Amino acid sequence: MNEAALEIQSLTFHRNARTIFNNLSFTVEKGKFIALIGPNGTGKSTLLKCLAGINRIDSGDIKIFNRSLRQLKPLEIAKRITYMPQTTTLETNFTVQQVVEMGRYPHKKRFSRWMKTDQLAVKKALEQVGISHLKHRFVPSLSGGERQLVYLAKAIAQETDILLLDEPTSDLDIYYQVIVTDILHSLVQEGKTVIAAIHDINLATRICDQCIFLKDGKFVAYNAPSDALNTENIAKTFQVKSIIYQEPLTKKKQMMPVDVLT
Amino acid sequence: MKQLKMPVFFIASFILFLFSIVIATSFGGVTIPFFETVQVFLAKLPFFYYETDSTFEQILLYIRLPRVIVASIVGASLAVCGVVMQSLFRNPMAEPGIIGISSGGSLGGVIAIYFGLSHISTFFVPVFGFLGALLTLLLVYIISTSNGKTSMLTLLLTGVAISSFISACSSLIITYASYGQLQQILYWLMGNLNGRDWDDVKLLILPFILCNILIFSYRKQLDILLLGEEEAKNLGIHVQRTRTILLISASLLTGVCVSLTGVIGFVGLIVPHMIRLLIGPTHRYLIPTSLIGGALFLTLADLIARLVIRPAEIQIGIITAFLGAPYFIFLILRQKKMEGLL
Repeated sequence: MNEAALEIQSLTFHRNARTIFNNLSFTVEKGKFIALIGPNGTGKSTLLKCLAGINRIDSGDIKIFNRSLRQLKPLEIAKRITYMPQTTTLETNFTVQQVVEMGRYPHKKRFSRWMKTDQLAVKKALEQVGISHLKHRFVPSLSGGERQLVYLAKAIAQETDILLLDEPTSDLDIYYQVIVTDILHSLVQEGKTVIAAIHDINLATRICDQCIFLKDGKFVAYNAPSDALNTENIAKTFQVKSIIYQEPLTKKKQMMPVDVLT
Repeated sequence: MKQLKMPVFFIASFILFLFSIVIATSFGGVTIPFFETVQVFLAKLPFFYYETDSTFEQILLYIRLPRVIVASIVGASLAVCGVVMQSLFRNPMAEPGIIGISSGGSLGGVIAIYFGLSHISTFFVPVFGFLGALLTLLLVYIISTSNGKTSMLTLLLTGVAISSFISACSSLIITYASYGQLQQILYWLMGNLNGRDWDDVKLLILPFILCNILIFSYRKQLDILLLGEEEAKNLGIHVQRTRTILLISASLLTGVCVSLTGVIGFVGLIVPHMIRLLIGPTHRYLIPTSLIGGALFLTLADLIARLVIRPAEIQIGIITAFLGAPYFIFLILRQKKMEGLL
C-alpha cells in the first residue's frame, strides 16, 4: 500500500446540535483520485471542509501526511491541502489573473515580493485549465462554468499535494467536463491526491480510482468503482432502484436509475 | 497594463494633492497670492531663502495650514477606514462608522458639551468623543462575539441597532440643551474643521500613521477576504484574528477623527468607490490611493465650504455630499458604459 495522504480517525462533527459525522474513520492513499458520491445534504461538502480545516471538527483527528491538522498552523495547512467550493460569491471586480494569484498567498511571507516562481505557477495554472485568454476579464462578468474554472486554476496555483473539489464539473458543458476530467487525471499523474464530490454517478465511477458512497454521514461503500457500483449500494445510498450494465464499447459499468424505492 | 500605470497615477495624484494644499491655504478671508504662498512654505524648508510678509506667514502657517492638514488627515483616514469596512463586510454600503462608532463618538461629544465640560477645557469634547467611540466598539464587538467567533452579520445588525439607540440618546440630551449649547452641539454633530491648530495635528498624526501601517500590512488578506470566509480559511488566513485587528484599527482611527471634527459623512463611503472604479479593487493600490484621494477630496471640500459664503462658512458635510454624489454617479455611468463595450 502507498503512503497515506490523509488519515481520518474517528472524526465527529456537529452542526447546530445535529450530528453530521460520528466516529468516521478512513484512509486515503497518496496519488489516488477519489470520487465522493451521495445524495444532497448527506455531508459531502461538510466532509471536504472538515478535511481542509475550514470546519473545525469536534473530536477525532485528521492527519495530512502524518501531521495532525490540529498541530498545523492555518498557513501550513493551506500549503498542503486546498478546497474548491461548488458555488462562489464574488461581486468585486477582480480580474481572473488577480484571483488566481491569490492562490499563491500561503507561499508568501507578509512582506515578501512577488517571485518568478509565483508568476510561473499562476501562468501554468491558467494554461493548464485553458483560461489564459480570460485572464484580464472581471470574474463577476463570467459565466458559472467559467468561474468554476477560475477557482480550479486558483486551487492548482496553490500547489498543494491534496486537492478537495466540490462538484468541479457541475456547471460545465461536456466539452469542459472532459477538459476538467483530464486536468484532474494529470494532477493525479503528478502524484497529487484528489478527492472530488461528483453528482453524476456514471461520470464519477468512470474517472475515479476509488469511490466513496456516502449516506447520512456514513460510508456505504469505499472501493474501486467496479466493486462499489452495484444495485445494492445505489439502493442504500439513494433509495433508488437501478440497473447496472456494461457499456459495450468501454466495457465499463454504467448505472441507470429505474424507480424510487419506498 | 493597469499595474504599469499605477505608480504614475499615484505620483500624479500626490502632486495634485500638494498643489491643492497650496491652493487651499492661499484662499480664505484674505486671499494670498499663489506664489507668495509657495514662498512662505519654501522659506520654512532648508536651502530656500525668501523675504516673506509676516502677516501672511501668520495666517498661512498658524491658521490655514494646520486646518488644511487636519482636513487632509481626516479625509485620508475616513477614506481608508471606508475601504477596510467595505471589504470586511463585503458590503458596498459600509462606511467607517458602520458599527456605530460615529454615533458613539457624537454622543460622547454631546455629553461633554451638555455638562459644560467644553467650557472647562476644549480638550474634553475630543476626549469624550473618543471614549464614546471606544465604548461603542467594545459593546458591539462583545455582543457579536460568542465562543471566540464574531459573526459579521451580527456585527452589522448590532451596529445598526446600537447606533440608532445611541443617536436617540443624543437627541434626548439635545432636547434638554439650552440654546447656546444647542448651537454648539449642532456645530459639532454636523462636522466642522473650524479653528484647527497644530495641537490637533499632533493628536491625529500618531494614530493615523500607526493604524495605516497596520492596515496596509493586511492588504493581501483584505483582497482574499473579499472572496469569502471559507476561501480565506482555505488559503490559510486566520480569519477571526485578521478581522478583529482590522476592525479595531479602522474603528479607532475613525473614532479619533470623529472625536476631533465631529461626523463628516460621505467621504468614507464614496471615496473608496471612486478610487476602486478608477484603479480596481486590489488593496495594495487601493489603500495608498484612497489615502491621497480622501485627503484631496476633504481639502477641496473644506476650501469650498470656506469660500462660498465668505466670510461665513458652510458645513463641510453639505459640500462633501454636493461634490461627491454627482461625481460618483458619473463614475457609475462610465463604468456601465465600459462594461457594455466589453
